[in-house]
This record gives sequence, structure tokens and C-alpha cells, in this order.
Amino acid sequence: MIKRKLHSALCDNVFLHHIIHEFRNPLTILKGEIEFALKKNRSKKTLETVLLSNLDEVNRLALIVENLSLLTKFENGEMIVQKRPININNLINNIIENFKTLSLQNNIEINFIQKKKIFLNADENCLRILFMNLLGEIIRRGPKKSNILVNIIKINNFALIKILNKEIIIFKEFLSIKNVNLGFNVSKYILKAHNAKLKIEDTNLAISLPISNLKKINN
Amino acid sequence: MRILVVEDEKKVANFIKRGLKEEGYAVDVANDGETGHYLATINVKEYDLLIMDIMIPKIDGLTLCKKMREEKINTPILMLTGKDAVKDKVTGLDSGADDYLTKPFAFEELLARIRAILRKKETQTVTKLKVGDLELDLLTHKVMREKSEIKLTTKEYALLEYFMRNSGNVVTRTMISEHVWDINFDTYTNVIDVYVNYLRTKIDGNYKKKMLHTIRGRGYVLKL
Repeated sequence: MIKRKLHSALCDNVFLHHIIHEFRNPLTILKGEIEFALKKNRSKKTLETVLLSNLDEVNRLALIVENLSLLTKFENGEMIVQKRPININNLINNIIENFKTLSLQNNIEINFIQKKKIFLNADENCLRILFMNLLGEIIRRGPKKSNILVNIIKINNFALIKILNKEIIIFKEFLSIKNVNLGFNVSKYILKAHNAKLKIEDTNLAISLPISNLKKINN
Repeated sequence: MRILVVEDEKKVANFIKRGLKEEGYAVDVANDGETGHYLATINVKEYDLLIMDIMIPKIDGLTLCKKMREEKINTPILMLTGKDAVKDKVTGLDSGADDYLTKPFAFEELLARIRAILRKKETQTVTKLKVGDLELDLLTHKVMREKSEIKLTTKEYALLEYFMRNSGNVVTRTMISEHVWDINFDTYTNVIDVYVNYLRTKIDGNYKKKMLHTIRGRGYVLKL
């Protein structure tokens, strides 16, 4: 379904134009902020802020490239999902840490609630990209001065990860057939490859990932 | 001059705002089309220019542009977008935009296009503000009194322009903080008073007839 849709989109260039558009915003920010910094003598603090912001945009460009690479592999049937036991708590903690600068710039507070460590049998890189795509989108597109709460619990043989934010409604387009956003489409492939489910409600986005063959580790 | 930036990418909006403020413009930001429409229409005289992205949430830029033109709101609009195909530019201009700039852009080009749009707007309306013998040229940013040029800083110029556009009316500190400083800072700080004094020294200091008056407890008025 996804493959057919993307092939069709690629044929009429809509998808390609969208990818070009995704590259333009970080490039615009990099160019604009560097020009701003060079325009006159700036304080050390201002230059530091510009550099941190630039680093964040370079990371964003790197994520776009990673998404493109993964999408190509999924599309061509070359993707080998390498599942191995991973600590999902550590993974999410690292991702939140990666978004520290961006969330600070937007006055967004991210809290992670975890009762106990949960291990999954999953492809760590794929899940990293999945959560980078989802959290990055909320931080960039959501309102400034807001809170994001990430909650992880184990229910039966599933790890349920909930992302709570009042603007989570922006993810409704995630399920849209028309959506050609690169990150969203890669995320769909990743969810499918892990037999994971995604549900969007008014204020939360819930991802349930199966915990397979890891009962001993989790119990 | 007050500009409204309608852009959902916060960091793009942020550097445009900072860059324009350094040039003496007052800038507001809306992160979606609905807020942009509300701000641009609640008081149609509020903004001299709208800078608008096309792909924005709630109401997209093209729809917003058309809607505003249908509502007879003629504030100039500069479209700022990632779409660079000829047909995209044509669609943008046909929807009622005055100009179109593709991302990523050079900030100097954005400034030049803003100046060109405002020049065009001013030639259709007014290019000079005059209160008594005090004259402010909106195109060259020259300020003259009794045929002598008065050199002002960017902030002083913006402050004087605001006073002259509201000559004869009391201008409160809150109004100044919103329109000239573009922030709603604590009006108990004396930043505004300090700048008004700088301006007063320059425009009234050497002249017998004083124009800038303090209205105690309320604000200031520029009058003959």
C-alpha cells in the first residue's frame, strides 16, 4: 500500500518536490542565521546560540538523509531489519537528550516517565529514527512554551509509549493517505517492520511495540 | 513600519524577526494561517507588509492570500516559500501576492524586496510625514527640521515615525513598547523614557518651539 502510494507519488513528482521542500527549511535557517551572525560584531553568547542552532539544523539534514536512505532500502526490498534486545528506556532518554538544544530554544519541556526498564527485540537504528521523526515534528511544529510528556509502560507483551502534548492533533495527517512527508512514510515502514501499532488521540500519540521472546529479561 | 510574518517554521520566523528588528522594523509573528488572518484583519491599518509562507497549518498561504484580497484587505504580501517552479510562482502571484521569494534566500535580498514593496506602497499613498516644520522622508529615512538634517539612530527613527503617524494623539508607553520595541516588556522600566529623551534632545533641543510633550501618567504626544 505504502509502496504503491510512494511509487505513484514519485511518478508525478509530488514526493520528490516534498523532499526538496524538506531540505529547504534547514538550509534557509542555516543561511539566514549565518548571514545574521556575520552582519556585524556579535557577542560570544549570540554566536554560541547561532552555532548550537546550526548544529541542530545539520542534525536535521542528517536525519533527512537517513530517512531517504532507509526509505530507498524499504522501497527496493533491500532493508534488513536487524532485531536484537534493546533497552527502550535508554534509547528514548538519548533521543530526548539529542533534542535538548532545540527544545530549549522553543521553551519546550520534555519529561520522561518510566517505571521500570523495558527490553524489546527491535532494530535500534530504526526505532531511533522513528522517535526522532515523531518527537522532532512535535518540537518543531508544536507551540512554544509547552510541555511534552513521554510515558512508557509495559502492558502484557507490549511496550506502550505515549507522547502527550496538547498539539498532538498535528499528527492526524500521519494517517492521511495523501501525506507524502518523508519522515512519516519511513516511520510507517518501521512500525510495520516491528508489528507496531500507532494510535492518535486528542492529546496523545500511542505507539505499542511487541515484546517478543524477551519475557525473561523483562520479568 | 510594522511587518507580520506568517511562518510555521519557528526558527525561520525567528531569524527574520531578529534581522528585520535590526533594520528598524517592528515585527509580529503568527505560526499558522488562522492566527495570521486574525492579526492581519483585526486592524487592517496595523501592518505595512505581510511576509507569508505557503505551507502553513490551518489555512495555507495561498488560500489566506486569496481570502484577504476577497475581503478587500490590500496590505502588501510577500510570499516566502520552498516551492520554486514557475507555476508555483504564478499561482502565488495570481492569488494576490505582491512578490515571491524562494527559500533559501539571501537576507539582503529579502530586505531589498521589502523596501521595493514598501516604496511601491508609499508612492501610491504618502512618502513623507510632516508635522509643522518637522519632516520625515519614509523612502530615504532622512529627518529634517527647519531645513537642517537631524541624524537619528534606527530606534530613534522608528520612534519618531510612530509619533508622527500618531501626531496630535496621546501615545502610551504600552503602545510604544508594542509598536516600536515589538515586545510587551514591563512598562515600568525606563527604556522608553530614555529613548524619548534622546529623541527629544535631537528634535527639540535646538529649537524654540517644542513638539514632543510628556502627558503625565499617560504617555507622550507629538504636536505643534
